[in-house]
Amino acid sequence: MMYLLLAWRNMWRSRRRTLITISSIFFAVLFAIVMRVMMVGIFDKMISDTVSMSCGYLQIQHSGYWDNKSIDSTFEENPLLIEILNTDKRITTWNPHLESFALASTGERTKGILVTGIDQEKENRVSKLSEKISSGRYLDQNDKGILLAEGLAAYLNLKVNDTVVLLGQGYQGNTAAGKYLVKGIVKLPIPQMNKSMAWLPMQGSRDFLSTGARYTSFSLMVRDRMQVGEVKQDLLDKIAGMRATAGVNYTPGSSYTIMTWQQMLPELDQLFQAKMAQNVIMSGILYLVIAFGIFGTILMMLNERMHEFGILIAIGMKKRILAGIVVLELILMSLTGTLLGIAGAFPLVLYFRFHPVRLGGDWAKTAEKFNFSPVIQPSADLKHFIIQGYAVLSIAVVLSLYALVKINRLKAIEAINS
Amino acid sequence: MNTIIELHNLSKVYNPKTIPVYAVNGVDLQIEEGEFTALVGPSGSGKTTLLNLIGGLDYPSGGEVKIEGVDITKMNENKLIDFRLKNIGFVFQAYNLIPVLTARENVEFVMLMQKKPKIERDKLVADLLTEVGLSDKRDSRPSELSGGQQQRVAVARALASKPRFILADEPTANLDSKSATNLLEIMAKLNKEDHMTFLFSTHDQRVIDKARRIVTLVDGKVISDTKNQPH
Ligand SMILES: Nc1ncnc2c1ncn2[C@@H]1O[C@H](COP(=O)(O)OP(=O)(O)OP(=O)(O)O)[C@@H](O)[C@H]1O
Ligand SMILES: [Mg+2]
Repeated sequence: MMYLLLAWRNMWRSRRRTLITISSIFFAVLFAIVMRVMMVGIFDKMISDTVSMSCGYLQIQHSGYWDNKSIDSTFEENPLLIEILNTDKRITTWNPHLESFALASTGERTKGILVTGIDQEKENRVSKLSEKISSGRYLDQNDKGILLAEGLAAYLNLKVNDTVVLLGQGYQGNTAAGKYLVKGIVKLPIPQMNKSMAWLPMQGSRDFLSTGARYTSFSLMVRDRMQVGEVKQDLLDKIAGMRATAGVNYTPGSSYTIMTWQQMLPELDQLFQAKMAQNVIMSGILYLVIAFGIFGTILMMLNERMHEFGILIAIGMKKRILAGIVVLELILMSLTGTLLGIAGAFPLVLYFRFHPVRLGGDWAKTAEKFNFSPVIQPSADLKHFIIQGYAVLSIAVVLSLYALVKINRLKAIEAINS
Repeated sequence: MNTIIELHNLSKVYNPKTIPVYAVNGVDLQIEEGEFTALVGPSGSGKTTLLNLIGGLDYPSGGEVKIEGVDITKMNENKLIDFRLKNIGFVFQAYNLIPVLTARENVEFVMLMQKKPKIERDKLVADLLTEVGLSDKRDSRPSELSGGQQQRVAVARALASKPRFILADEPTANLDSKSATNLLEIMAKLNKEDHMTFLFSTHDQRVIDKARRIVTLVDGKVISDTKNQPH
């Protein structure tokens, strides 16, 4: 097609200018992508670290549990519910918890803590707790011991094989009390949690709280963080269906609530949203600079070619075809820069994906202080690549409108004489 | 003979509200098919303005421009563009060609706009470039051609659309005298052999001598219209 050929050749007419324009787009796209995927990567890690250690991306609770955290707002095991969780492909793993607040005491010191009753195997699949043991060992099936987070152990001055006393409120007003042997010390990647967490085997926790076979929550991990809303809705629908058909297996009085990680950890979500907004602003500034560059190119191009445009219109070229060629040229140029930018970002991002940056020294300390994991691994979500491409292309398209208007207003003789 | 161009009381006033300039002032003129006419006159006499009005590149302040009986001053801009493509060939003073296209592509381009089939395009392009003596330069870009060669390609391009007539505003102004004479000889030959109607403006006496009709403008008015024996 002659018009495409014309656009292509015109693009290379002022080789230097085209190269400058293309390379500035290339760097902008590359930079914007890397900036974005690094940031999202940091948050992916931070969010998954946090939710895997605490509440999952989604959590099933007894209605009303979240507000008062009462051990009375618990639910019994229900095979139909478990069946639903086990058959949903988007749910990678899930773990049951029986959580309660308690006082941990050694005689000298006392501290309020969160005691979590866990299913050792399921817990490990979600939070990889056994890998975080810094001394001692992980809990066995039917273990009578307890795991303490590092900061808590330090505060209470406890080591492996020492004994800790827990006091709390049990099911339906019972007093909860127990004496436990410290089996292991856990070092968590999130400092805040390090100060106040302890884990009992599920049976141990039930005995402590006198609940019998009850849970405070099931925490669900999903394959893709973005699917949280959709999975939640499906589960709610299925649970409603389960009730309708359950008959014998339906436990009266047990109604479920499903919460998302954003609801349970609003600060984390807000932090993420804020960083995301910051990132959008940064990219916006970057693209503004690029927009000026592209606009400059358009102005120069229009100026240089006025005479030629005049001739073309004089000999009978329709203005919309002429404008089409010019816009095609600009889009071709922007597309080249954008595709090169995406192509350039790809290996870079993949490299860091497989060779995450491990911050050392002060950087690591600072990162931990702000609850960041000191490992930076970019997100490899294609979406972030494509969005940047769209951004540049839309800038180019919008700016080409200027060329369009200019050509539409052009008068052949004036243009020829310019 | 057919009358191709008919001007009635044609005028063009620039800056009518401030200091009016009567660039074309009540011109009546008829151009017959097959004529080879030079438009002459001192600088500022209105030659370019008149040619632009005839070519539908500008709208007059008054009067009519009829091309084969059709008054083009009533057409809107888009219609005029289409009308020019189908009926009028243009040769401008200089830089007529699209710099990024070769001589062949420049000539072919108009036919592409007219949506002519490839076979027809290829044949006509080859014929036209041969006629203007540039078949060996077909793949050269304008920057690789001399000014005279560029003007010859422009003539070939003007012919490629099979127009009813060709307008040329000082086509030799930027050429040395040898190239100018050469261009005029090619135009004269196309006029004679293919009966193509030419209307061109010029200051150059040797170019004027090649014309068969000479129309002289002064202050936007036709002051003489004579037949000439080319030599
Ligand atoms: N766009 C314009 N605005 C105002 N006045 C104009 C414009 N174009 C031409 N003129 C005036 O109109 C008159 C005729 O100009 P025109 O260019 O038609 O003359 P010309 O015979 O072609 O001159 P030359 O031989 O120098 O090319 C001149 O006085 C000129 O200054
Ligand atoms: Mg002139």
